[in-house]
Amino acid sequence: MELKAGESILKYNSADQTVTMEGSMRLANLMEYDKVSVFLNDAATQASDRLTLDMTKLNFLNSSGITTLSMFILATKKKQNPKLNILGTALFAWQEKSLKNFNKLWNEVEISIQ
Amino acid sequence: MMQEIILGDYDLIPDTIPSEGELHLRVKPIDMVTYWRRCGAVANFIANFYRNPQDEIYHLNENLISTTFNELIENAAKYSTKRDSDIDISLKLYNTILKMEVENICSHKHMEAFQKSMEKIIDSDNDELDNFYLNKIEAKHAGDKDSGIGLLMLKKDYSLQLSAKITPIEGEVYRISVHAYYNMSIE
Repeated sequence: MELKAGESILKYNSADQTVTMEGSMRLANLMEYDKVSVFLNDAATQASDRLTLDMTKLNFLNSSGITTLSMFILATKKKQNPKLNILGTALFAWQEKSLKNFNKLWNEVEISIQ
Repeated sequence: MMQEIILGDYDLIPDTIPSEGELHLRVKPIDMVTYWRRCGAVANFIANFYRNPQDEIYHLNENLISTTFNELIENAAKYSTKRDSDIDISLKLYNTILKMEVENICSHKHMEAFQKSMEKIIDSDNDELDNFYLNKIEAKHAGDKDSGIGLLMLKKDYSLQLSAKITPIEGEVYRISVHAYYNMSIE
C-alpha cells in the first residue's frame, strides 16, 4: 500500500506492520491531509496489535501534518488498538523537538529516537 | 483608528543595530497559495544560505531554521489579503543569534484571531503551553476549524523567542510582523 503526499511517500509493509514516511510532508491544510489520515487508518485496521510509524527518513513535517498525526493518535487511543511505535531520528530537529508530544496525547505511544 | 500593538519583546535586537549578515526576500501570497511547495522551497533556501560546515563557533541547525520559516511563511500565505500585498521575509545574523522575521498584510478578522492566539502563546509558560497544545488537538479532533498550532509549537518545542507587531494600515487592514529569535550557541 503506497501513497504520494506532496513531496513525501508513505508505504505500508504488512509483513512488519510498519508505515514508512519519506521525504518532505508540508501539505497546505488539514483537508489535503485527509488522504494521509485515511492511509494511516487503513494501516491501523490491517495491523494486528502494534503499528510502527517509521519517520527516520521524513525530513520535514509541518504543523498541519503534526496535527493530522496527533488526531490519528487520538482516534487510535479511543479504540485502544493497535498500540503505536514511532521511530524517529535526532538528525532532524523537528523530530527531536516535537515527536515527544505524541506520547503526551497517549502514553501507550512508544517513541524511539536514534 | 486602532493603535499599533506590540506582543512580546519585539525589539529584542532592534533594526538599528547593524547585523553581520542579512537576507531579504519578498513573495506574493497568491503565488505561494497557488504553488504551495514554494513555501517550503523558500524556507529551505534560507536555511541553506548561512550553512557553513567548517564553522566551529556555532551550530546552525538547518532543519530548525527551515521548519521555523516554513511555519511563518505558511501562516503569512494563508492569512494574507491575496491581491496587492506582499510577504516580506528577513533573516539577520548577530553573532550567534538569528533574527527571523516574516511580515504580511491581513484583514481585521485574521488580525484578531492572530492577536488572541499570540498573546496566549507569549504569556504562557511551558506547562501551560503543553495544556494549550493538548486542548487545541482535542478541539480539532472534535471538529474545531480554528487556527493551528504552528506558532505554539515554535515556542513550546523549539524555545524560540517569539514576538509580533500589529500595525493598522487603513480601513480594516493590518500589517503583522512576527519575529523569532534563535540562539545558535545553545544546543
